[in-house]
Amino acid sequence: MDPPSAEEFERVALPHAAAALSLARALVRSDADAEDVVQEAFMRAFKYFRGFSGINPRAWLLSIVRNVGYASLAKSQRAEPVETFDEERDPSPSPWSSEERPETPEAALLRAVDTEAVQAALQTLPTEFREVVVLRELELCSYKEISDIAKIPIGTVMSRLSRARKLLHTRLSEGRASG
Amino acid sequence: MNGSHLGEALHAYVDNELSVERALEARAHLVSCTRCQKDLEEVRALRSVLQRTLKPAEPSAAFLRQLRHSVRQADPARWRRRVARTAWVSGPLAAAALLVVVALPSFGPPASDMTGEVVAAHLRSLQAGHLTDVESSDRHTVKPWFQGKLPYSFSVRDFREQGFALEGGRLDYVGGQPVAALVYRARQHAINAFVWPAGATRDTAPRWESRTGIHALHWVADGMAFWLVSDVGDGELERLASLMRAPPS
Repeated sequence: MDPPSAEEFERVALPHAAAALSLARALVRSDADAEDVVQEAFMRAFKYFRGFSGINPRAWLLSIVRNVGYASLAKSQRAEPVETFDEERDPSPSPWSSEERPETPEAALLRAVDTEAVQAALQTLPTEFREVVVLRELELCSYKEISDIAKIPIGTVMSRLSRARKLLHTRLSEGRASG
Repeated sequence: MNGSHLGEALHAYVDNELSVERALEARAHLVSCTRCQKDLEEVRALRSVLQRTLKPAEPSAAFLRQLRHSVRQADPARWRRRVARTAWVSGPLAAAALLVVVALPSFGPPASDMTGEVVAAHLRSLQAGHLTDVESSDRHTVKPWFQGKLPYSFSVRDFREQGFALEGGRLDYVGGQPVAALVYRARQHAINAFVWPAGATRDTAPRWESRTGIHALHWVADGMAFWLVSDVGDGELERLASLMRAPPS
């Protein structure tokens, strides 16, 4: 058997270049670094293309992008605030369920929030949260797909997503309140 | 957190990720729990903000070219296979050329490969400026536009409130035949809905096909063949399919 050709690989992989770049951007937070991550991920994916099951190329590629993205974060000295956490030991700080929420209707509060504010709020989240938000809200991945990409159980997808949204909501509300 | 509230399950509820049984339980709880109602409103408000503001990355033509180039450099078979087909096109044309190359291999040959054909048509439609021939969210504009262009008619509905906004329609070609393509938008993702007469084929339930990461959902109803094609999550396509299959209210 011939090894898979670059043409075959491109046919499968290139339709997902934008998704790959979106995820990489969310991980490494710089457009130039994100392009490097995607390029390396594509090279790596091509190398392992023969072993690919053919089932969900987007999830397969995004999982590689994710690995390369994390490796690049670990290498860069622009060290992430290492905000790892343990879902079991560290249950929700839940601004969501606190009783002293502002009474302003949420919709009104959030209506004026713009792309820059959302990007800024997103940047303050731990990497694990940024990625689930982008995979769910931008790439419209199902929990199952996110679980495959990030190699975490579906229950963890749910809890990360809920905590990420709570945090984002808090940051955006604070932003609005403080001006 | 009070165990009787929905908590994280509220998010799975909003994301359509609960089992039918648990979704019904959640719905029943929401009827009487003002706190969870408020949480629900907050999650929905946040999601609508995110969907309005989060923008997908747009790989530049130069970057895509570079990506292909590096993959080709790494291709061990490149010397054997090299065909003089890669005259480089520069500038904005490169992205378009790329899509054509992407679409070509699965397009054309056996008419039996309908999935390949509709996926190819979908990919072609994403090229700049060719998604819609008639751009309108008003079904009363879109439907008449097809009259006289196609020898059949079909219903056109907008599902904006359910998250699938009608963007317009387009005349496309699948298997060498002109067909109707309706374009819906779920957040930033385009969904092509192809419709044509199914001939004598019996009604069929929606069935999945997938090519190169593009999902296609196909069914036949009342003598018409339907294909939904997109890269959105498969749950979303199924949701649109069930809306389209439901009788108009």
